[in-house]
Amino acid sequence: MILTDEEKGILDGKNGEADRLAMELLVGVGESFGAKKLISISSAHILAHFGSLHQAGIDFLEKLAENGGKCKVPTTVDPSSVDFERWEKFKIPKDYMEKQKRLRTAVEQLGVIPSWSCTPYQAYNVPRFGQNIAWAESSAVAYANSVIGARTNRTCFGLDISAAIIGKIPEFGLYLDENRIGSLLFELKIDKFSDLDYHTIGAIVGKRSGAKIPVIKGIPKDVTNDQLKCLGSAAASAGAVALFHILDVTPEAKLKDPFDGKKPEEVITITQKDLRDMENMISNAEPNSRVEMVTLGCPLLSVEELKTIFDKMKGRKVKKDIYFWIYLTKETYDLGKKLGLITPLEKAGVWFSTQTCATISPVKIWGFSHIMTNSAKCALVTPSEHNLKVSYRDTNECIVTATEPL
Amino acid sequence: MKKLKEIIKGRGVTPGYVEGSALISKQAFMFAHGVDPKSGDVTDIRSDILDKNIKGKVFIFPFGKGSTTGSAWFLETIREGNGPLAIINRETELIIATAIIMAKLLYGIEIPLVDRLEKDISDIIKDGDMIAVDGNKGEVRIFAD
Repeated sequence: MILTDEEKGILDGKNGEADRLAMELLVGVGESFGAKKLISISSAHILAHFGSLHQAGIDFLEKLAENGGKCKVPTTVDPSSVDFERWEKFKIPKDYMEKQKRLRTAVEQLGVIPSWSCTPYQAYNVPRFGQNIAWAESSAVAYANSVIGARTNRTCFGLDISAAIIGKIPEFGLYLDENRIGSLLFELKIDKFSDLDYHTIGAIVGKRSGAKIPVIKGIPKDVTNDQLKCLGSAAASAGAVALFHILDVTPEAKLKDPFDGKKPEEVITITQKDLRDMENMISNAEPNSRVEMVTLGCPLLSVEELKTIFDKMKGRKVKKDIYFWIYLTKETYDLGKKLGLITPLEKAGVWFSTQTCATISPVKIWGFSHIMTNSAKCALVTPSEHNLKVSYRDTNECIVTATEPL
Repeated sequence: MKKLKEIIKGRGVTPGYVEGSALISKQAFMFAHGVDPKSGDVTDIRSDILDKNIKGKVFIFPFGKGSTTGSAWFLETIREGNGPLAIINRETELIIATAIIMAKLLYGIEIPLVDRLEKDISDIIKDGDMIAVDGNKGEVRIFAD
Protein backbone atom coordinates (compact mmCIF):
# COMPACT_ATOMS: atom_id res chain seq x y z
CA MET A 1 0.00 0.00 0.00
CA ILE A 2 1.30 3.48 -0.82
CA LEU A 3 1.06 5.87 2.14
CA THR A 4 1.39 9.65 2.15
CA ASP A 5 4.05 11.29 4.34
CA GLU A 6 1.33 12.31 6.77
CA GLU A 7 0.04 8.73 7.03
CA LYS A 8 3.58 7.42 7.55
CA GLY A 9 4.02 9.98 10.32
CA ILE A 10 0.87 8.73 12.07
CA LEU A 11 2.21 5.19 11.79
CA ASP A 12 5.42 6.41 13.47
CA GLY A 13 3.38 7.80 16.35
CA LYS A 14 3.54 11.53 15.50
CA ASN A 15 -0.16 11.99 16.38
CA GLY A 16 0.01 9.87 19.52
CA GLU A 17 -0.65 6.28 20.46
CA ALA A 18 -4.38 6.09 19.63
CA ASP A 19 -3.84 7.31 16.07
CA ARG A 20 -0.86 4.97 15.69
CA LEU A 21 -2.90 1.93 16.74
CA ALA A 22 -5.78 2.90 14.49
CA MET A 23 -3.44 3.49 11.56
CA GLU A 24 -1.67 0.15 12.10
CA LEU A 25 -5.00 -1.63 11.88
CA LEU A 26 -6.06 0.28 8.74
CA VAL A 27 -2.75 -0.44 7.02
CA GLY A 28 -2.70 -4.10 8.11
CA VAL A 29 -6.21 -4.65 6.80
CA GLY A 30 -5.49 -2.67 3.63
CA GLU A 31 -2.49 -4.86 2.85
CA SER A 32 -4.46 -8.05 3.54
CA PHE A 33 -7.04 -7.02 0.95
CA GLY A 34 -4.76 -5.57 -1.72
CA ALA A 35 -5.80 -1.94 -1.19
CA LYS A 36 -3.51 0.49 -3.01
CA LYS A 37 -4.19 3.43 -0.71
CA LEU A 38 -6.29 4.92 2.06
CA ILE A 39 -9.24 7.10 1.04
CA SER A 40 -11.01 9.79 3.06
CA ILE A 41 -14.40 9.02 4.55
CA SER A 42 -17.18 11.48 5.37
CA SER A 43 -18.65 9.53 8.30
CA ALA A 44 -18.40 6.40 10.41
CA HIS A 45 -20.85 4.21 12.33
CA ILE A 46 -19.42 1.95 15.03
CA LEU A 47 -20.39 -0.96 17.29
CA ALA A 48 -20.29 -0.70 21.09
CA HIS A 49 -22.75 -3.21 22.56
CA PHE A 50 -21.27 -5.33 25.31
CA GLY A 51 -23.24 -8.46 24.37
CA SER A 52 -21.06 -8.93 21.30
CA LEU A 53 -17.96 -6.89 22.12
CA HIS A 54 -17.12 -8.66 25.39
CA GLN A 55 -14.10 -7.60 27.46
CA ALA A 56 -11.89 -7.49 24.35
CA GLY A 57 -14.11 -4.76 22.90
CA ILE A 58 -13.88 -2.76 26.11
CA ASP A 59 -10.08 -3.19 26.06
CA PHE A 60 -9.78 -1.80 22.55
CA LEU A 61 -12.15 1.16 22.89
CA GLU A 62 -10.73 2.12 26.31
CA LYS A 63 -7.18 1.91 25.00
CA LEU A 64 -8.03 4.30 22.18
CA ALA A 65 -9.94 6.64 24.50
CA GLU A 66 -7.26 6.66 27.23
CA ASN A 67 -4.63 7.49 24.64
CA GLY A 68 -6.51 10.55 23.47
CA GLY A 69 -8.21 9.15 20.38
CA LYS A 70 -10.88 11.40 18.85
CA CYS A 71 -13.18 10.79 15.90
CA LYS A 72 -12.14 12.91 12.92
CA VAL A 73 -15.44 12.50 11.08
CA PRO A 74 -19.06 12.45 12.30
CA THR A 75 -19.47 9.05 13.94
CA THR A 76 -22.62 7.46 15.34
CA VAL A 77 -22.96 4.30 17.42
CA ASP A 78 -25.14 1.21 17.09
CA PRO A 79 -27.64 0.28 19.83
CA SER A 80 -26.37 -0.63 23.28
CA SER A 81 -26.97 -4.03 24.89
CA VAL A 82 -29.10 -2.36 27.56
CA ASP A 83 -31.61 0.45 27.89
CA PHE A 84 -29.62 3.01 29.90
CA GLU A 85 -32.79 4.29 31.62
CA ARG A 86 -34.95 1.18 32.05
CA TRP A 87 -32.28 -1.46 32.62
CA GLU A 88 -33.60 -2.50 36.02
CA LYS A 89 -37.12 -2.98 34.65
CA PHE A 90 -35.62 -5.24 32.00
CA LYS A 91 -33.79 -7.28 34.70
CA ILE A 92 -30.29 -6.44 33.45
CA PRO A 93 -27.70 -7.66 36.00
CA LYS A 94 -25.71 -4.85 37.57
CA ASP A 95 -22.30 -6.14 36.48
CA TYR A 96 -23.53 -6.44 32.89
CA MET A 97 -24.78 -2.85 33.07
CA GLU A 98 -21.38 -1.72 34.40
CA LYS A 99 -19.62 -3.24 31.40
CA GLN A 100 -21.97 -1.45 29.01
CA LYS A 101 -21.39 1.80 30.92
CA ARG A 102 -17.63 1.45 30.40
CA LEU A 103 -18.27 1.17 26.68
CA ARG A 104 -20.51 4.25 26.84
CA THR A 105 -17.83 6.24 28.65
CA ALA A 106 -15.20 5.20 26.11
CA VAL A 107 -17.27 6.10 23.04
CA GLU A 108 -18.24 9.44 24.55
CA GLN A 109 -14.55 10.20 25.26
CA LEU A 110 -13.78 9.31 21.66
CA GLY A 111 -16.27 11.94 20.51
CA VAL A 112 -18.84 9.54 19.09
CA ILE A 113 -22.39 10.95 18.74
CA PRO A 114 -24.24 8.84 21.36
CA SER A 115 -27.12 7.97 19.03
CA TRP A 116 -27.30 4.25 20.06
CA SER A 117 -29.28 3.56 16.91
CA CYS A 118 -29.09 1.04 14.06
CA THR A 119 -30.75 3.57 11.74
CA PRO A 120 -28.21 6.44 11.71
CA TYR A 121 -29.36 7.36 8.19
CA GLN A 122 -32.72 8.47 9.63
CA ALA A 123 -31.06 11.00 11.96
CA TYR A 124 -27.63 12.45 12.78
CA ASN A 125 -25.60 10.66 10.15
CA VAL A 126 -27.01 10.99 6.66
CA PRO A 127 -24.50 10.37 3.85
CA ARG A 128 -24.84 11.75 0.34
CA PHE A 129 -24.80 9.78 -2.90
CA GLY A 130 -21.29 8.62 -3.82
CA GLN A 131 -19.65 9.51 -0.51
CA ASN A 132 -17.19 7.04 1.00
CA ILE A 133 -18.14 6.10 4.57
CA ALA A 134 -17.02 3.37 7.00
CA TRP A 135 -20.05 1.85 8.64
CA ALA A 136 -20.59 -1.23 10.73
CA GLU A 137 -24.11 -2.67 11.39
CA SER A 138 -25.09 -4.83 8.46
CA SER A 139 -28.59 -3.33 8.03
CA ALA A 140 -27.26 0.24 7.98
CA VAL A 141 -24.54 -0.80 5.53
CA ALA A 142 -27.18 -2.26 3.21
CA TYR A 143 -29.27 0.92 3.42
CA ALA A 144 -26.39 3.36 2.93
CA ASN A 145 -24.95 1.49 -0.06
CA SER A 146 -28.23 0.65 -1.73
CA VAL A 147 -30.86 3.27 -0.96
CA ILE A 148 -28.49 6.26 -0.68
CA GLY A 149 -25.67 5.14 -2.98
CA ALA A 150 -22.96 5.95 -0.47
CA ARG A 151 -20.07 3.47 -0.32
CA THR A 152 -19.00 1.20 2.51
CA ASN A 153 -17.92 -2.37 3.11
CA ARG A 154 -19.39 -4.32 6.02
CA THR A 155 -16.90 -2.62 8.32
CA CYS A 156 -16.31 -4.87 11.31
CA PHE A 157 -15.61 -4.08 14.96
CA GLY A 158 -12.19 -2.50 15.44
CA LEU A 159 -11.84 -1.32 11.89
CA ASP A 160 -14.93 0.90 12.41
CA ILE A 161 -13.51 3.05 15.22
CA SER A 162 -10.04 3.05 13.65
CA ALA A 163 -11.48 4.52 10.46
CA ALA A 164 -13.40 7.10 12.51
CA ILE A 165 -10.25 8.21 14.33
CA ILE A 166 -8.10 8.52 11.21
CA GLY A 167 -10.96 9.66 8.94
CA LYS A 168 -9.81 7.16 6.32
CA ILE A 169 -10.30 3.56 5.20
CA PRO A 170 -8.35 1.25 2.86
CA GLU A 171 -9.80 1.34 -0.63
CA PHE A 172 -11.10 -2.11 -1.55
CA GLY A 173 -14.37 -3.96 -2.06
CA LEU A 174 -17.45 -1.76 -2.41
CA TYR A 175 -15.44 1.49 -2.56
CA LEU A 176 -14.52 0.51 -6.13
CA ASP A 177 -16.95 0.88 -9.08
CA GLU A 178 -16.17 -2.56 -10.48
CA ASN A 179 -17.30 -4.30 -7.28
CA ARG A 180 -20.75 -2.66 -7.24
CA ILE A 181 -22.10 -4.40 -10.34
CA GLY A 182 -25.10 -6.71 -9.87
CA SER A 183 -24.81 -10.42 -10.60
CA LEU A 184 -28.21 -11.96 -9.73
CA LEU A 185 -31.63 -10.79 -10.96
CA PHE A 186 -34.67 -11.34 -8.75
CA GLU A 187 -37.99 -10.84 -10.54
CA LEU A 188 -40.95 -10.32 -8.22
CA LYS A 189 -44.30 -11.74 -9.37
CA ILE A 190 -46.29 -10.18 -6.55
CA ASP A 191 -49.38 -7.96 -6.92
CA LYS A 192 -49.83 -6.48 -3.51
CA PHE A 193 -47.12 -5.93 -0.92
CA SER A 194 -47.67 -6.03 2.83
CA ASP A 195 -45.09 -4.59 5.24
CA LEU A 196 -44.07 -8.12 6.20
CA ASP A 197 -43.46 -8.94 2.54
CA TYR A 198 -40.55 -6.49 2.41
CA HIS A 199 -38.82 -8.38 5.24
CA THR A 200 -39.59 -11.70 3.56
CA ILE A 201 -38.36 -10.57 0.14
CA GLY A 202 -35.16 -9.41 1.85
CA ALA A 203 -34.76 -12.80 3.53
CA ILE A 204 -35.19 -14.68 0.22
CA VAL A 205 -32.81 -12.35 -1.60
CA GLY A 206 -30.25 -12.65 1.23
CA LYS A 207 -30.41 -16.45 1.39
CA ARG A 208 -30.02 -16.83 -2.37
CA SER A 209 -27.37 -14.13 -2.83
CA GLY A 210 -24.88 -14.86 -0.04
CA ALA A 211 -22.28 -12.16 -0.64
CA LYS A 212 -23.23 -11.58 -4.30
CA ILE A 213 -24.94 -8.37 -5.38
CA PRO A 214 -28.65 -8.81 -6.11
CA VAL A 215 -30.74 -6.70 -8.46
CA ILE A 216 -34.48 -6.68 -7.74
CA LYS A 217 -37.19 -5.99 -10.31
CA GLY A 218 -40.82 -5.35 -9.43
CA ILE A 219 -40.73 -3.29 -6.24
CA PRO A 220 -43.33 -0.47 -6.47
CA LYS A 221 -41.84 2.97 -7.09
CA ASP A 222 -43.68 4.39 -4.09
CA VAL A 223 -41.97 1.98 -1.66
CA THR A 224 -41.18 3.84 1.59
CA ASN A 225 -37.78 4.32 3.19
CA ASP A 226 -38.96 2.22 6.13
CA GLN A 227 -39.91 -0.66 3.82
CA LEU A 228 -36.47 -0.50 2.18
CA LYS A 229 -34.88 -0.39 5.63
CA CYS A 230 -36.68 -3.65 6.50
CA LEU A 231 -35.85 -5.31 3.19
CA GLY A 232 -32.15 -4.47 3.60
CA SER A 233 -31.97 -5.60 7.22
CA ALA A 234 -33.41 -9.00 6.29
CA ALA A 235 -31.14 -9.40 3.24
CA ALA A 236 -28.09 -8.47 5.31
CA SER A 237 -28.82 -10.97 8.06
CA ALA A 238 -30.14 -13.85 5.94
CA GLY A 239 -27.07 -13.58 3.69
CA ALA A 240 -24.15 -11.18 3.62
CA VAL A 241 -25.79 -8.63 1.32
CA ALA A 242 -24.05 -5.27 1.67
CA LEU A 243 -25.49 -3.73 -1.51
CA PHE A 244 -28.64 -4.38 -3.53
CA HIS A 245 -30.03 -2.55 -6.53
CA ILE A 246 -33.76 -2.11 -7.21
CA LEU A 247 -34.74 -1.21 -10.76
CA ASP A 248 -36.46 2.21 -10.97
CA VAL A 249 -35.96 2.76 -7.22
CA THR A 250 -32.35 2.84 -5.97
CA PRO A 251 -30.03 5.55 -7.33
CA GLU A 252 -27.28 3.50 -8.98
CA ALA A 253 -29.89 1.42 -10.82
CA LYS A 254 -31.58 4.60 -12.01
CA LEU A 255 -28.37 6.13 -13.34
CA LYS A 256 -27.06 3.12 -15.25
CA ASP A 257 -27.50 -0.56 -16.00
CA PRO A 258 -26.76 -2.30 -12.67
CA PHE A 259 -25.40 -5.29 -14.63
CA ASP A 260 -23.03 -3.01 -16.57
CA GLY A 261 -24.19 -4.42 -19.91
CA LYS A 262 -23.62 -8.05 -18.90
CA LYS A 263 -26.24 -10.73 -18.47
CA PRO A 264 -27.25 -11.67 -14.93
CA GLU A 265 -25.59 -14.89 -13.74
CA GLU A 266 -29.01 -16.19 -12.79
CA VAL A 267 -32.62 -14.98 -12.92
CA ILE A 268 -34.69 -15.94 -9.87
CA THR A 269 -38.45 -15.47 -9.72
CA ILE A 270 -40.16 -14.72 -6.42
CA THR A 271 -43.87 -15.50 -6.20
CA GLN A 272 -46.50 -15.10 -3.50
CA LYS A 273 -45.96 -18.78 -2.69
CA ASP A 274 -42.22 -18.25 -2.20
CA LEU A 275 -43.05 -15.54 0.34
CA ARG A 276 -45.34 -17.89 2.31
CA ASP A 277 -42.71 -20.67 2.18
CA MET A 278 -40.02 -18.33 3.51
CA GLU A 279 -42.34 -17.06 6.27
CA ASN A 280 -42.82 -20.67 7.39
CA MET A 281 -39.11 -21.32 7.21
CA ILE A 282 -38.28 -18.27 9.36
CA SER A 283 -40.77 -19.28 12.06
CA ASN A 284 -39.45 -22.23 14.05
CA ALA A 285 -42.04 -22.40 16.84
CA GLU A 286 -44.83 -24.96 17.19
CA PRO A 287 -47.91 -23.17 15.77
CA ASN A 288 -50.05 -23.66 18.88
CA SER A 289 -47.49 -23.10 21.62
CA ARG A 290 -48.07 -20.08 23.82
CA VAL A 291 -46.28 -16.82 22.93
CA GLU A 292 -44.67 -15.22 26.00
CA MET A 293 -43.35 -12.02 24.47
CA VAL A 294 -44.14 -10.01 21.35
CA THR A 295 -41.55 -7.55 20.08
CA LEU A 296 -41.61 -4.85 17.40
CA GLY A 297 -38.85 -2.48 16.33
CA CYS A 298 -36.09 -4.35 14.50
CA PRO A 299 -34.67 -2.23 12.90
CA LEU A 300 -35.63 0.47 15.42
CA LEU A 301 -38.98 2.12 14.63
CA SER A 302 -39.37 5.42 12.82
CA VAL A 303 -42.07 7.89 13.86
CA GLU A 304 -44.20 6.76 10.90
CA GLU A 305 -44.01 3.12 11.97
CA LEU A 306 -44.89 4.14 15.51
CA LYS A 307 -47.99 5.95 14.18
CA THR A 308 -49.11 2.79 12.38
CA ILE A 309 -48.78 0.73 15.57
CA PHE A 310 -50.65 3.40 17.53
CA ASP A 311 -53.58 3.28 15.08
CA LYS A 312 -53.76 -0.52 15.20
CA MET A 313 -53.68 -0.45 19.02
CA LYS A 314 -56.76 1.81 19.38
CA GLY A 315 -59.27 0.26 21.80
CA ARG A 316 -56.88 -2.52 22.88
CA LYS A 317 -54.68 -3.35 25.87
CA VAL A 318 -51.86 -5.81 26.48
CA LYS A 319 -53.00 -9.20 27.83
CA LYS A 320 -52.04 -10.06 31.40
CA ASP A 321 -49.95 -13.11 30.61
CA ILE A 322 -47.80 -11.66 27.83
CA TYR A 323 -45.09 -9.02 27.41
CA PHE A 324 -45.26 -6.52 24.54
CA TRP A 325 -41.92 -4.77 23.97
CA ILE A 326 -41.37 -2.04 21.37
CA TYR A 327 -37.90 -0.71 20.53
CA LEU A 328 -37.04 2.71 19.13
CA THR A 329 -34.43 5.45 19.44
CA LYS A 330 -34.63 7.85 22.36
CA GLU A 331 -35.27 10.68 19.91
CA THR A 332 -38.14 8.83 18.20
CA TYR A 333 -39.59 8.09 21.64
CA ASP A 334 -39.46 11.80 22.56
CA LEU A 335 -41.02 12.85 19.25
CA GLY A 336 -43.70 10.18 19.65
CA LYS A 337 -44.45 11.52 23.11
CA LYS A 338 -44.98 15.01 21.69
CA LEU A 339 -47.38 13.52 19.16
CA GLY A 340 -49.33 11.78 21.94
CA LEU A 341 -48.41 8.30 20.67
CA ILE A 342 -46.45 7.04 23.66
CA THR A 343 -48.38 7.66 26.87
CA PRO A 344 -51.65 5.95 25.76
CA LEU A 345 -49.69 2.87 24.66
CA GLU A 346 -47.74 2.76 27.92
CA LYS A 347 -51.06 2.97 29.79
CA ALA A 348 -52.29 0.07 27.66
CA GLY A 349 -49.39 -2.03 28.94
CA VAL A 350 -46.76 -1.65 26.21
CA TRP A 351 -43.14 -1.55 27.40
CA PHE A 352 -41.13 0.86 25.28
CA SER A 353 -37.37 0.58 25.33
CA THR A 354 -34.84 2.96 23.81
CA GLN A 355 -31.21 2.75 22.64
CA THR A 356 -31.24 -1.05 22.54
CA CYS A 357 -33.25 -3.87 20.92
CA ALA A 358 -34.43 -7.43 21.56
CA THR A 359 -31.81 -8.86 19.21
CA ILE A 360 -28.74 -7.60 21.07
CA SER A 361 -29.88 -7.22 24.69
CA PRO A 362 -29.65 -10.17 27.09
CA VAL A 363 -33.29 -11.26 26.66
CA LYS A 364 -32.09 -14.77 27.56
CA ILE A 365 -32.32 -13.67 31.23
CA TRP A 366 -36.12 -13.83 30.97
CA GLY A 367 -36.09 -17.48 30.00
CA PHE A 368 -38.70 -17.10 27.27
CA SER A 369 -39.22 -20.19 25.16
CA HIS A 370 -41.39 -18.59 22.45
CA ILE A 371 -41.50 -15.01 21.17
CA MET A 372 -43.21 -13.35 18.20
CA THR A 373 -41.84 -10.59 15.96
CA ASN A 374 -42.63 -8.86 12.67
CA SER A 375 -38.93 -8.64 11.82
CA ALA A 376 -37.12 -11.24 9.72
CA LYS A 377 -33.75 -10.13 11.13
CA CYS A 378 -34.94 -10.46 14.71
CA ALA A 379 -36.51 -13.85 13.92
CA LEU A 380 -33.34 -15.10 12.22
CA VAL A 381 -30.91 -13.93 14.90
CA THR A 382 -32.69 -14.39 18.25
CA PRO A 383 -33.14 -18.20 18.30
CA SER A 384 -29.38 -18.82 18.51
CA GLU A 385 -28.73 -15.65 20.53
CA HIS A 386 -31.34 -16.32 23.21
CA ASN A 387 -32.00 -20.03 22.80
CA LEU A 388 -35.73 -19.72 22.07
CA LYS A 389 -38.35 -20.33 19.36
CA VAL A 390 -39.75 -17.57 17.19
CA SER A 391 -42.98 -16.93 15.34
CA TYR A 392 -42.61 -14.50 12.45
CA ARG A 393 -45.91 -12.69 11.75
CA ASP A 394 -47.15 -9.35 10.39
CA THR A 395 -47.74 -6.34 12.65
CA ASN A 396 -51.50 -7.01 12.84
CA GLU A 397 -51.05 -10.55 14.09
CA CYS A 398 -48.34 -9.45 16.53
CA ILE A 399 -50.76 -6.90 18.00
CA VAL A 400 -53.70 -9.30 18.09
CA THR A 401 -51.51 -11.88 19.84
CA ALA A 402 -50.24 -9.45 22.47
CA THR A 403 -53.46 -7.53 23.16
CA GLU A 404 -57.22 -7.80 23.71
CA PRO A 405 -60.10 -5.32 23.39
CA LEU A 406 -60.44 -2.87 26.31
CA MET B 1 11.80 -36.86 13.92
CA LYS B 2 9.11 -35.30 11.75
CA LYS B 3 9.53 -36.01 8.10
CA LEU B 4 8.41 -33.36 5.64
CA LYS B 5 5.93 -34.73 3.12
CA GLU B 6 4.82 -31.69 1.19
CA ILE B 7 5.06 -27.89 1.07
CA ILE B 8 1.98 -26.04 -0.21
CA LYS B 9 2.43 -22.45 -1.28
CA GLY B 10 -0.06 -19.70 -0.63
CA ARG B 11 -0.16 -16.14 0.60
CA GLY B 12 0.94 -15.05 4.07
CA VAL B 13 -1.59 -12.55 5.42
CA THR B 14 -0.22 -12.25 8.96
CA PRO B 15 3.28 -13.33 10.11
CA GLY B 16 4.44 -16.06 12.46
CA TYR B 17 5.45 -19.75 12.34
CA VAL B 18 3.66 -22.50 14.27
CA GLU B 19 3.25 -26.27 14.22
CA GLY B 20 0.05 -27.83 15.45
CA SER B 21 -2.79 -30.21 14.98
CA ALA B 22 -5.38 -29.48 12.28
CA LEU B 23 -9.10 -28.83 12.74
CA ILE B 24 -11.03 -28.66 9.49
CA SER B 25 -14.41 -27.16 8.65
CA LYS B 26 -15.58 -27.29 5.04
CA GLN B 27 -18.09 -24.49 5.59
CA ALA B 28 -17.83 -20.72 5.91
CA PHE B 29 -17.24 -20.09 9.61
CA MET B 30 -19.02 -17.63 11.89
CA PHE B 31 -17.40 -16.35 15.09
CA ALA B 32 -20.35 -14.18 16.20
CA HIS B 33 -22.56 -16.55 18.22
CA GLY B 34 -20.59 -19.37 16.60
CA VAL B 35 -17.85 -19.84 19.20
CA ASP B 36 -17.97 -19.62 22.99
CA PRO B 37 -15.02 -17.34 23.82
CA LYS B 38 -14.84 -18.79 27.33
CA SER B 39 -14.00 -22.28 26.07
CA GLY B 40 -13.24 -22.15 22.35
CA ASP B 41 -16.13 -24.58 21.74
CA VAL B 42 -17.95 -24.23 18.43
CA THR B 43 -21.60 -23.42 19.25
CA ASP B 44 -23.06 -22.63 15.81
CA ILE B 45 -25.76 -25.28 15.44
CA ARG B 46 -25.37 -25.21 11.64
CA SER B 47 -21.61 -25.79 11.68
CA ASP B 48 -20.07 -29.09 10.55
CA ILE B 49 -17.68 -28.86 13.53
CA LEU B 50 -20.35 -28.17 16.18
CA ASP B 51 -19.03 -28.98 19.70
CA LYS B 52 -15.40 -29.28 18.54
CA ASN B 53 -12.88 -26.90 20.08
CA ILE B 54 -10.64 -24.47 18.19
CA LYS B 55 -8.20 -23.78 21.03
CA GLY B 56 -4.58 -24.37 20.06
CA LYS B 57 -5.53 -25.85 16.69
CA VAL B 58 -4.43 -25.03 13.18
CA PHE B 59 -7.92 -24.02 12.18
CA ILE B 60 -8.78 -24.57 8.53
CA PHE B 61 -11.99 -23.21 6.98
CA PRO B 62 -12.74 -21.68 3.58
CA PHE B 63 -14.13 -18.23 4.48
CA GLY B 64 -15.38 -16.17 7.39
CA LYS B 65 -19.02 -15.10 7.53
CA GLY B 66 -21.64 -13.49 9.76
CA SER B 67 -22.17 -10.30 11.75
CA THR B 68 -19.67 -7.44 11.76
CA THR B 69 -19.30 -8.09 15.50
CA GLY B 70 -17.46 -11.31 14.59
CA SER B 71 -14.06 -9.63 14.99
CA ALA B 72 -14.93 -8.86 18.63
CA TRP B 73 -16.06 -12.47 19.30
CA PHE B 74 -12.86 -13.79 17.75
CA LEU B 75 -10.68 -11.26 19.61
CA GLU B 76 -12.36 -12.18 22.90
CA THR B 77 -11.72 -15.87 22.21
CA ILE B 78 -8.03 -15.06 21.70
CA ARG B 79 -7.96 -12.84 24.83
CA GLU B 80 -9.37 -15.70 26.88
CA GLY B 81 -6.53 -17.92 25.65
CA ASN B 82 -8.88 -20.07 23.60
CA GLY B 83 -7.89 -18.91 20.12
CA PRO B 84 -6.44 -21.13 17.39
CA LEU B 85 -2.70 -21.43 16.84
CA ALA B 86 -3.00 -20.48 13.18
CA ILE B 87 -5.64 -20.08 10.49
CA ILE B 88 -5.75 -21.29 6.92
CA ASN B 89 -8.48 -19.87 4.68
CA ARG B 90 -9.25 -20.35 1.02
CA GLU B 91 -9.79 -16.57 0.84
CA THR B 92 -9.62 -14.65 4.07
CA GLU B 93 -12.33 -12.25 5.12
CA LEU B 94 -12.39 -8.87 6.84
CA ILE B 95 -13.60 -10.15 10.24
CA ILE B 96 -10.83 -12.76 10.48
CA ALA B 97 -7.96 -10.52 9.36
CA THR B 98 -9.10 -7.60 11.55
CA ALA B 99 -9.31 -9.74 14.71
CA ILE B 100 -5.87 -11.25 14.16
CA ILE B 101 -4.24 -7.86 13.55
CA MET B 102 -5.98 -6.48 16.67
CA ALA B 103 -4.80 -9.43 18.79
CA LYS B 104 -1.20 -8.50 17.95
CA LEU B 105 -1.77 -4.78 18.63
CA LEU B 106 -3.70 -5.24 21.84
CA TYR B 107 -2.38 -8.44 23.44
CA GLY B 108 0.86 -9.12 21.59
CA ILE B 109 -0.49 -12.49 20.44
CA GLU B 110 0.58 -13.55 16.97
CA ILE B 111 -1.62 -15.85 14.89
CA PRO B 112 -0.25 -16.64 11.46
CA LEU B 113 -2.90 -16.52 8.73
CA VAL B 114 -2.30 -18.04 5.32
CA ASP B 115 -4.75 -18.10 2.42
CA ARG B 116 -4.96 -18.81 -1.34
CA LEU B 117 -3.09 -22.13 -1.12
CA GLU B 118 -2.32 -23.62 -4.53
CA LYS B 119 -4.41 -26.68 -3.63
CA ASP B 120 -7.31 -27.43 -1.29
CA ILE B 121 -5.60 -28.60 1.89
CA SER B 122 -8.85 -29.82 3.44
CA ASP B 123 -8.83 -32.68 0.90
CA ILE B 124 -5.25 -33.70 1.71
CA ILE B 125 -5.20 -33.81 5.50
CA LYS B 126 -7.62 -34.76 8.26
CA ASP B 127 -8.44 -33.55 11.77
CA GLY B 128 -5.55 -34.13 14.15
CA ASP B 129 -2.79 -34.21 11.50
CA MET B 130 0.28 -32.20 12.47
CA ILE B 131 1.04 -29.36 10.08
CA ALA B 132 3.16 -26.21 10.09
CA VAL B 133 1.90 -22.79 9.06
CA ASP B 134 4.41 -20.17 7.99
CA GLY B 135 2.78 -16.76 7.73
CA ASN B 136 6.09 -15.12 6.86
CA LYS B 137 6.68 -17.23 3.75
CA GLY B 138 3.01 -17.84 3.05
CA GLU B 139 3.24 -21.63 3.05
CA VAL B 140 1.98 -24.72 4.80
CA ARG B 141 4.07 -27.84 5.51
CA ILE B 142 2.55 -31.26 5.82
CA PHE B 143 4.50 -33.97 7.66
CA ALA B 144 4.58 -37.71 7.03
CA ASP B 145 3.05 -39.84 9.81
